[in-house]
Amino acid sequence: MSTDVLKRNNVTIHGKGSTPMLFAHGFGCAQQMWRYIWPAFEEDYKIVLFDYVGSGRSDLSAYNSERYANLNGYAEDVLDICRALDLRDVIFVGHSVSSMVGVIASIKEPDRFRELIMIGPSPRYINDEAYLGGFERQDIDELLTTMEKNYIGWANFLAPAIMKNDERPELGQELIDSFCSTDPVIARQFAEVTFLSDNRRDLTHVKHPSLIMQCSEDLVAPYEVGYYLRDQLTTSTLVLMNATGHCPHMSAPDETIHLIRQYLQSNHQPA
Amino acid sequence: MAFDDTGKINFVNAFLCEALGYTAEELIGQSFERILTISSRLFYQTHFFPLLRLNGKVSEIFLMLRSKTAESIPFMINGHREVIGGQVLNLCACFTVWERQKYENELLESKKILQKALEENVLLNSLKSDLEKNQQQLDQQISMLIQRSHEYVQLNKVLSHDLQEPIRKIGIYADILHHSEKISTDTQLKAYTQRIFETVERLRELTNCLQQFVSVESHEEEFATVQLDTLLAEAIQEATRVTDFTDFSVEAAGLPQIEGRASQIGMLFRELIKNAIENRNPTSRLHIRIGAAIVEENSYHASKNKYRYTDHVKLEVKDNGMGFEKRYSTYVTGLFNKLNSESKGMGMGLALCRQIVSNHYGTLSIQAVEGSGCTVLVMLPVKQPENL
Repeated sequence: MSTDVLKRNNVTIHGKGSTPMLFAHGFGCAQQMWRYIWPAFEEDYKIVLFDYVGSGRSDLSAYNSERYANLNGYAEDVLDICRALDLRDVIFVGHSVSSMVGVIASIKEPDRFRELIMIGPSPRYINDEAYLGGFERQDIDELLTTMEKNYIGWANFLAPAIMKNDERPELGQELIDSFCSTDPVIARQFAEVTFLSDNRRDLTHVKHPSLIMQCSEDLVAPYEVGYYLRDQLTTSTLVLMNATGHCPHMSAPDETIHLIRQYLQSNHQPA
Repeated sequence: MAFDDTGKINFVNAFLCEALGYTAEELIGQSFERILTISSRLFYQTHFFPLLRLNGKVSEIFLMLRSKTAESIPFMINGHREVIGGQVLNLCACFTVWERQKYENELLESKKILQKALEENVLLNSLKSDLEKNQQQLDQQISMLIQRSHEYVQLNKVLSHDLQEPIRKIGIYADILHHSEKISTDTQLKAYTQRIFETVERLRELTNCLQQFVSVESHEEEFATVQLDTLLAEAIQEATRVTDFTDFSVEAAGLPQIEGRASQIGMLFRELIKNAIENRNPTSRLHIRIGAAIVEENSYHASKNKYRYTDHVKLEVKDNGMGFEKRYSTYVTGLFNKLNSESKGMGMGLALCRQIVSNHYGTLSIQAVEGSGCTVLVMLPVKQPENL
């Protein structure tokens, strides 16, 4: 079972330390997005990287559209990895949607986690009455169309998702490099699950200390969302980053590393 | 056009300016995202920029750009990174693709229809064979369950009547013996009859416990909406009465209402509290903390590869009692298994709890630390499966 999970989620382990740092990628990419960040921590921590089933070099045959129709399915990936490696006191670093995946996993098995570090988190992307998430439903539908347009070249080469194409593996490889996913259908479902998720009610159950890394001018997770999270998560710390956009771990790795390190060294409120 | 890693536009040519209706001065120094539609900004943040940054180039990316008059214009973009004058710039060649977009839309549309039909067909075929297989299995299981259910009714009757009668008789005759003149003077024989009494009493308790266990299996009570906090309050009183122990406190917060069988859920709470009382630490005052959270759990337990996430209440019943060694976590929920030889209980409480929880399609697990208490984790569906 344990080796199956490690293969299924393409788990890679680096580092010399014993405290595990688990990096969870967001929607639209895979574990390589952490490549500018994790080396800074390899001296002191055990670095665990992985791809969610359906992303990167994970085992696509393990994709189950019922399981991954819900962020809980992704949280189950995280917990499976923790169980397979017998990880405890994990420092969970999640980008974007993975922040909420970490929230779900930490509520389900609190003993596995020590801290949650969230980069550009949002508990809900779509505006809802007084809540401002930044998007309307229509925006999300248009995103799905944009994605389809960008997958069109590939989608016509590749057989539909349910008939796996084994004869032309080079296509798969090329697509992994281009889009971090070989399967437009999976990518679409991930987009839907991500942008239609609502995890606001889970926030009150989070007991772990957490760091909210709020970027400047981030369309995906605007300031209001960062403030909302800070108010809902009683054991959280909010930092406003100079980095703009939604991917500070790629656009501003130094600032990202500095803030994470500063947080890990500070005496924030214990769990 | 060119922009830096913060997204700031550094250069833009006349073609792009004209296509968007801006002057170069209006665009330089502005964020690239400003000339994208909202959905294209999302795609830019989640795909375009990460890919450009990681691979050093992107090719044939489709994005909708926003003109000065807020019109959406379809563009195809190729980009790569280059160091110019000591600064890393992202250079992009942008083409309008009005014509191509039309073809693509048609292509996508027909592809979608085709794929949907194909998926449905493949899905239907696999569902059909699954269904037949499952139906066969289900039928076997249902007939076994009906059989089992009859047996439970019989067993219940045996335990509540047929077995009680011989136990009662043994008691009566032992009593006659005990009080007969012949043995009233023989202390040895009197000690034997006393042992018979005690054994009969224990047999009666065991039978009663078994009957309770079996009766939980008979599904006479219907599911209804139950208030967990009300049931807990009643269970605390009941447990206090049965154990004649009052020196403890219970702290519970946020217990919701769920669908369940009220008498069974009440019994579950009562047994959990009784268990904590019986295994309390004599050196510190017993404190039981009950926490509740709603989480989504897969409602399929036995079927592999089936997922349906539904709301469950996660109850955590934590005490500061004696606890036990980790390796006994499964043992303690077995019927008549008990670790604490000091307690008066029959080793029945947690087995009953597990039975009740599985009757509600939930799960129960126990974690304990020897000397510092145990935590019972109960996961119960908020709505019972057939009522979803």
